[in-house]
Amino acid sequence: MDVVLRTLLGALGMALVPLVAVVFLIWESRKVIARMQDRLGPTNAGTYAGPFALFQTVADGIKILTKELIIPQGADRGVFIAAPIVVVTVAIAVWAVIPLGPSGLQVVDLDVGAFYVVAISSLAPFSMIMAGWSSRNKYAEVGAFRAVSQIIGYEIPQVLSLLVPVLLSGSLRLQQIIQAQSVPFGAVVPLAALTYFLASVAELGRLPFELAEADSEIVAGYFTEYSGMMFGAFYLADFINNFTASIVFSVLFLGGWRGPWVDQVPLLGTFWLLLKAFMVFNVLVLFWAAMPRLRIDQVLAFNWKFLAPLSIATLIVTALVDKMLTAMAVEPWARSAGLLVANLLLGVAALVFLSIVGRRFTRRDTLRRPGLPTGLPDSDAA
Amino acid sequence: MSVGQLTFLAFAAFTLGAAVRVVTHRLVFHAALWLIASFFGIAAVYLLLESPFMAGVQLFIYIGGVAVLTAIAVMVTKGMMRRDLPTMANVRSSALVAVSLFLVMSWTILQMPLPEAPASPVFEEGLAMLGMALVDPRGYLLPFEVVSLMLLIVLIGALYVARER
Amino acid sequence: MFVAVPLSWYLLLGAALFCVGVYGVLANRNLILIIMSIELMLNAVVLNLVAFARYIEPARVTGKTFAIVVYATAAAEAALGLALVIAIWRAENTVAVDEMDLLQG
Repeated sequence: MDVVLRTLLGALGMALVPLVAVVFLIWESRKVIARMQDRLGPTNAGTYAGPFALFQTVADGIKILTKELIIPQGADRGVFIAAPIVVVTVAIAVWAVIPLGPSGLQVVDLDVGAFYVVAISSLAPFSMIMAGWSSRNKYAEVGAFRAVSQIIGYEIPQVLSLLVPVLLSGSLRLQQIIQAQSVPFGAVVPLAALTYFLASVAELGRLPFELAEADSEIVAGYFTEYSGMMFGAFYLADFINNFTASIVFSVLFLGGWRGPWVDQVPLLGTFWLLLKAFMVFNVLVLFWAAMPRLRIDQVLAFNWKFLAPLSIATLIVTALVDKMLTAMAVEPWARSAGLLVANLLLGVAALVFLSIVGRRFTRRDTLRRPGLPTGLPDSDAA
Repeated sequence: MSVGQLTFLAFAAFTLGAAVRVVTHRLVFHAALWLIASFFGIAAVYLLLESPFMAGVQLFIYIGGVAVLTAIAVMVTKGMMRRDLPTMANVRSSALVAVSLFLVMSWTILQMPLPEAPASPVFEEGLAMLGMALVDPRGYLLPFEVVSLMLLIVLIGALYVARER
Repeated sequence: MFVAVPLSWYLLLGAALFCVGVYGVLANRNLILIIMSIELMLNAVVLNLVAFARYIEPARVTGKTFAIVVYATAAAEAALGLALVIAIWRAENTVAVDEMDLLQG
């Protein structure tokens, strides 16, 4: 019975980690974006909200909690209210398998941990459909369709490139993947790390893939009709998903809780993991601050014509090279170096392929409309 | 009644209730949501069978794939606008068929000598074994390849059938 | 304290789900609901397979492999069925099965 109690308390504690972290992460991202846009961000110019306005998010939360929950008259009440609940639940549910430390700082070390992460994050589109449909709003439906087609499309390169660290460490258990990373997998298979990162950015709905919430195009996408804490729930779930994706990327490709002096002080492992996740999160924030938005056809073309085939090729090449090097029984550093070389060659090959195809398309375009300047150094359309 | 049996009964009741709500619906979209709920219940039953891999596959393929597709199909065909009630004659005769089928199956099940407890030792999932069996030529490589070929054919066929004309 | 669940309970659950699916297929006019009921039936089948695999001989992977093949087939069939639904919707603007009688002699 006390096992059950300990597990429940552990689950509760683990569920609190993203919620508390998100309070400071929202503040930090607002500050960073503001500085990139040459302004100050949240300060104490008005009501006092902690030193440097650290608790600005708490103030925002109080404001959102006191707003009226407006439910449109034609909306489907049950589904409308259930959608934000589902989206927050799914966002927090991933944290059950995340290993915060070398031993025991994990709710449950599932045998299929990496697969669980994938399975839970595939539940996200269904909450978007619920939100988009129950609003009975054309903009919400359009936003839901676009978001769902983007997310289920980008699951494929995400899962395929997630299989690369699983392949290299031989297990789906997250603790085992971390323990197999004497050299972080991001340095051994950078192409897989890059494809996983890009697919995650698209899954999160972050710029440049921010179609679900394209605020200048379809009002607010699938949560147009939501107000008050229900909108707050979507916003919260969005940030929790960002932080979760950063932590999962750090676990899979950056070595998790590994770092100097972890053997002596196990708690330092948690610090290293959170530091790595924080750095990845900041990269996502910088994406948000600096990049423009892609169109839906560009997003889907990027996925199906480039990212998915590239991730399949990465998986095949990595598997082949790994098996060859293991069969030749070389030392571990030679294995890592061999995989790195294979990955880099594949990346270069992909870029060369892209440039050839791109040049062919541009030249074809030029041939269709002769006489127009194209800016290419070798344009001989005249 | 032990904890395990009570847990199973709770999940089973939830799954059956959701399944019944799927077929006795008022709005098609709600039926799709109850279908998702019954899939969750079945995933929970897989966890009781000590098979987290199957539960994950259920979540990933059925809820994240088939159910989302069904909901999109419902939205595209505006299924929510009409209240499609089955016609009365069909209800009685199909209920008769379903109930009699269930009675026959449950009588057969209760006749058989089935184990009261799972076979011991409690065997862990053995995912590595499953993976190796799927690519072993003396194992299940042929069904695996045939299934992937079938998926390819279905992919092309579905794209062709549903394309814009 | 922990008395295990007999296998017959899992099989009864599978049988009940299967019969609910049969009722759904027979009693519904909406094609999408029929496809959903078929999915329910296939789920009941996989539940049976996994229960047998656990209770009879967990060392073999035959049950799990069969279950995976059934999953793949079910997902493929659902995708194709829904593509057909969309094609029919575009052509005839209906999804009720008794209104689809073009081939009726």
